Amino acid sequence: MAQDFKIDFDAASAGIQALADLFDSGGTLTIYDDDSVGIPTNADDSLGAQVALVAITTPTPSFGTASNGEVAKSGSWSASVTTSGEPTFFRLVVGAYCFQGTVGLTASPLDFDMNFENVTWLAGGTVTLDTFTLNLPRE
Amino acid sequence: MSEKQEQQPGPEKEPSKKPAKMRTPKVSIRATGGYQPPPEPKE
Repeated sequence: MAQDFKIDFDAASAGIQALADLFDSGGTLTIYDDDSVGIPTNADDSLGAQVALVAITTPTPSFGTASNGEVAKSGSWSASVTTSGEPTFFRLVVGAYCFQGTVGLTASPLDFDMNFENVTWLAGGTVTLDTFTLNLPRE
Repeated sequence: MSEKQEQQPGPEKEPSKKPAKMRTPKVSIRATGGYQPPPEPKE
């Protein structure tokens, strides 16, 4: 018989809530321009010449309550761009924990983990996250 | 009739193919945001 592991919504919600709770005391969301050196393969890889464009201190707590395997951000996630560039990936960090994802231009359907209508950012501009949802599917 | 034929194979075929490949639950993220450019300097 083929492998066909599944979890139910309750287990999925418990799992994703545990990850979200890591950010109960807030964290830092930094959005980078990989500046042609590439996006790190893994979330625990060291950064090289990638350029941080904006750093957002996330609220306390940063996420709400999970439901159906999903948990959304809470509060306002916004900050000013400090260095001009084109965002290509982000890291959400608290202590030793790091989540990493891709950033790009909004399309339909959405192509990236984090999607913006405009990816030509200038220093002094403002970046605001409208949605930021972690998901653990039950399948 | 021709409308029915166009609707059926489209959206339903793809999802039924994917579960055939074994997937383990994986955390994903979906985020959307906005960018407001800096105000233009006034002379």
